[in-house]
Amino acid sequence: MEKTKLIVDGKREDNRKTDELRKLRAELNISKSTKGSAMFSVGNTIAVATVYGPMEVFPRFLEDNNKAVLEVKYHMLPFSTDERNRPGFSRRSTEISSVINRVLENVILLEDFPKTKITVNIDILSADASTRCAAINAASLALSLAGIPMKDLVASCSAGKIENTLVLDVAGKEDTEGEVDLPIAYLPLTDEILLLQMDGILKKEEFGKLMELAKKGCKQICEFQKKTLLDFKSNLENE
Amino acid sequence: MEKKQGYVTVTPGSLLATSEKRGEGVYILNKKTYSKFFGILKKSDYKLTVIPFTQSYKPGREDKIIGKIKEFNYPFFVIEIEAPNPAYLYLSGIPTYNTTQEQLMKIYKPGLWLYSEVSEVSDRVKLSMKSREAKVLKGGRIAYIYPSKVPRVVGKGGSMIKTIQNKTNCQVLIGQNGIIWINGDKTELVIRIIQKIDKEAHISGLTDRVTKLIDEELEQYGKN
Repeated sequence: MEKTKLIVDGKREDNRKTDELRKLRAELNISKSTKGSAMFSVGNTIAVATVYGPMEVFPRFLEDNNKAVLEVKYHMLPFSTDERNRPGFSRRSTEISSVINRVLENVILLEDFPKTKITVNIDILSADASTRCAAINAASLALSLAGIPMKDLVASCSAGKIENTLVLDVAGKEDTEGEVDLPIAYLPLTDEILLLQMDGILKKEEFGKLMELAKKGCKQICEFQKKTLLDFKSNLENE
Repeated sequence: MEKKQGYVTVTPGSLLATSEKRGEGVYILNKKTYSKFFGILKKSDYKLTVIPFTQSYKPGREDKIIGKIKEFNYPFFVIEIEAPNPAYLYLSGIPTYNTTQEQLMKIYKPGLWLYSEVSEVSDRVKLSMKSREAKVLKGGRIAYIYPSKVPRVVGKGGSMIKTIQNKTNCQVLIGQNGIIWINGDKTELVIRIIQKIDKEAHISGLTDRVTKLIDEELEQYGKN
């Protein structure tokens, strides 16, 4: 049986161009009981991030005299995937939690809150490729709402290679049938790459091009995040 | 960055100045000044300040704060002050005169609210009840706001708080940590006013609007 083509006449399955992001949507302060919370969705991928703290560290021996301790918990809810996902922590969620922790450590100015702990909980409500990118974007919004000092809003998006074409923001079938998937997290202010993972094989020139493509997507997402935050405040005033 | 009359909203990482400037809520990178928070920018000739919309309380020396007694653990009381870490009220920080420790224990019971002063911020935050205004708060109600909005509730030279107190005949004490104690007949009205201030703290002409609100509410109160 012949495979269906993923790219026809420069258009992808969901009618996007090769360098186009899926539809972005964000909602802020969705939970009243937390200091900051945000929902971020890219297409069918939905991530919800909530921020608690700064608060007392428990157990005490984890405390750091010079900076705050950051704890990130990434969690895929049972109904997020096509087949039911077993609740609780898995190898995958532990890995992604630690990866996101390393991204946020470089963004938050942890030295401002010595001897405290900041907790970021991320839940994936619906998964359709690049969940870790949506998780980072949601966490970035939630942290800024919680009044936690940050260097900049961190943006994240994925790029990939399908049928020998470089594409931005892989989704659905492209993720499973594609050749390469490359999620990055990017800090536009300092031009730093905070997350870089890749599976598949790429030529050196292709890698350079793909990185540029992913950076371009991140810049778009960062602009979107800034716009969402500013709109949120002006909407509150008009109420 | 978004400009509106009177104030500027900034997001984390917004470029504020192309030179190194002092201030709160800002950081310096490559000889440029950037914002740390999602908040409001206030500019003066030599200083830049970013006031975040939400922020937890950072204890400072000689701050007057309101806290709740959690427990007694010789020789100190542990006080919850809505900050990341609790504060400690040592027995030496309480004016004892002739009272014994047993008598003190009867006065300072867990769950009681205190209005006290921060005497020391080092490894631990220490409180003192020795200042003139410090007291044990009996009765009344408690309201919470963000610490960054306390100056607006107090007003210029205490103008806002005086207006509220005079018009509603309520006793209002404001802690720098954002906890407010209200005692009197119209506590609910005062809480509603404070919520309004909390919501609209950054828009100018606040005192006039609050005065109008109090007048309207008082009229309705009189009718009922």
